Amino acid sequence: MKFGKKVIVPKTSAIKREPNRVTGPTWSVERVDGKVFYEYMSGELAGGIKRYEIAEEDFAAVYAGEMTDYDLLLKYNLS
Amino acid sequence: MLTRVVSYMTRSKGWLSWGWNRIIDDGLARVGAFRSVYPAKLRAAAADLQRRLLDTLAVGMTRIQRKSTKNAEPHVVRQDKVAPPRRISGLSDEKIREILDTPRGQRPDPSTYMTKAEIDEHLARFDDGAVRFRDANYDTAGPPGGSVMPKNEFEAMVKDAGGDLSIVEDGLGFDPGHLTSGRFEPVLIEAEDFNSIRIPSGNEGGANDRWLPGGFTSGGQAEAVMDFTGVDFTPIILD
Repeated sequence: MKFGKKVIVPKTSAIKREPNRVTGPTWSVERVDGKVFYEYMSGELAGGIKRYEIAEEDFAAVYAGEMTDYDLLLKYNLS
Repeated sequence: MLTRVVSYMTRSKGWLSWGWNRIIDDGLARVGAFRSVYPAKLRAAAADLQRRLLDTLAVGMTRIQRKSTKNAEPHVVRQDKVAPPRRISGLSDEKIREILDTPRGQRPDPSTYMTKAEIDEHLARFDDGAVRFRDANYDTAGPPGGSVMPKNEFEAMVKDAGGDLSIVEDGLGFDPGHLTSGRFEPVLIEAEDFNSIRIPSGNEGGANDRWLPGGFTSGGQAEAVMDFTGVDFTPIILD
């Protein structure tokens, strides 16, 4: 096996809040045309980005910090 | 045939003497008696023959079987008793079922059903590094609680596949095209960069319906999880 150049990853895990979007290090919750979508990087061995429609109330809860992205995974049984 | 014999005997009575006719009548009576019972006797004889043939066949088959095994003597078991095969994780089916029936988010920590030695032995598989397949469009190898496999097991898998990623895909249980499309690239996480590597509890965000407790996938692949936030990685280039 050959290897490429090592990638140095930023050590930040801050959550950024905008009026219609909340963004975490590997996920986001966004309002689009009246719908709310949860987009996240799956933890599966070859887990890519997945997108799932969630309830409006969940956006408010995540925005307020009352709900985490992990809570969304459990609530909607996502992986 | 008997019908023809009876016919000849009956016709001959017309040109034979009285003494001969008595003999013929006696013969006809015997033939009649025989004809009334012979179907039952034939059936009994056929059944007896069938039973004898089956008995002979059974004895012959038993002898053949004994000669084809090491245990040639009847009613003597010479094999040693061996323990039934264990699951690759070493957990009983009952324990696995109990853990799987627990809702995700509430499943027990592996330290409650695995010994420290078992956990250490499992995680030692990752001493040479861990491999994960990251989405090439993003600048992180994975999320918190993302799955990894041992580097040396990935190397062996690629070697066995002759570098054919479609075979690696199949071996890992991925959908066709998952790796060959180029969307995902294998990356190495060096042991010094590990962040909370551990045996998955099944509570992870990436634990799907096929997850099994004990550190092995349903396909028997060793797995662990770690938190990837801020974890450096090195792309693996497959020719």
